[in-house]
Amino acid sequence: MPGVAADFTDDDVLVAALRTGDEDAFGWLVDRYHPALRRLALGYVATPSVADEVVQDTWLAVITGIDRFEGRSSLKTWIYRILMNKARTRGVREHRSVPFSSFEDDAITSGFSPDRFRPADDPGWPGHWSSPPRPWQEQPHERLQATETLDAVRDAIAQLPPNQRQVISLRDIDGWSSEEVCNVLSLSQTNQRVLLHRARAKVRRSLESLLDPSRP
Amino acid sequence: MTTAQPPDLPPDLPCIQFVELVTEYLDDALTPDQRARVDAHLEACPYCADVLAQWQMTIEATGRLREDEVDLIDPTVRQSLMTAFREARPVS
Repeated sequence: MPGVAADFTDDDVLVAALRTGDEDAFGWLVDRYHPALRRLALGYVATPSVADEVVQDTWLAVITGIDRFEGRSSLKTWIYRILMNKARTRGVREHRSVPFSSFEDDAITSGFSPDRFRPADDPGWPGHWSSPPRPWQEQPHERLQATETLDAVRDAIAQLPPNQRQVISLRDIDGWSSEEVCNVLSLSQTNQRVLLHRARAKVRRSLESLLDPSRP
Repeated sequence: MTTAQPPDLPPDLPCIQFVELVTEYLDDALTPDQRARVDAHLEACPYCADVLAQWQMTIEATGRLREDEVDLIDPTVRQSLMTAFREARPVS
């Protein structure tokens, strides 16, 4: 349909266009999901080049399988499931699969050290702050958008365990809903939130050391 | 001798418990009763209100990585995918 801007955000329009060989539709799809697919694959396999292969295999499966797509899930979920299956298979072959049930066993997930709170036997305020956080609002707002800040966020995410990295990437970078993340990663809502909470806690802590230099 | 813990959050939610609930709070995944206690705590505790604000700023900063597009698709990879699509699905 030259000259007509098709609404590819509508799955029906997109799938129909893909089936008739519309290159604009496929290009739109690749541009929209490739970076996120690659981020997700990196959580499962050993190297960026293997992740690239997994993502390319996924796209080839989409190309050849689009006629069999039945629309029981969104196209996006369907594509991500293909990716997850291929990445898991590759990860297992490389002995690098990550069981989602393996949580760190510390009870504190928020990233705040227990010694920042009054002890449970405190006569006045048990469990309340003894060393409260300093507000970041006093920091110039531009600080949050600075390259230095984004680098700190990126580094913090790169150092997360793969399962936490995948959840925070899909939720907070790609803006997925918790339902979509649970669906694609086969997680319960509870597990998904624990992983997300731990991941955000670590990113917050790395920002705290940047935005509040009085704290180590 | 410890007294029995109430089944739900204690009426006066300690800060150490609030910080564990931030993500559930932001996802609106708490029960109405839990949510009311968290809201009451946030009204009374400026420090935890700061924590909530920091959590929101953390999420905002993370979201900026998407606009940053550090991992834009490699043009040669994109080209090879487009070629594969063209060959597999000639325009009908």
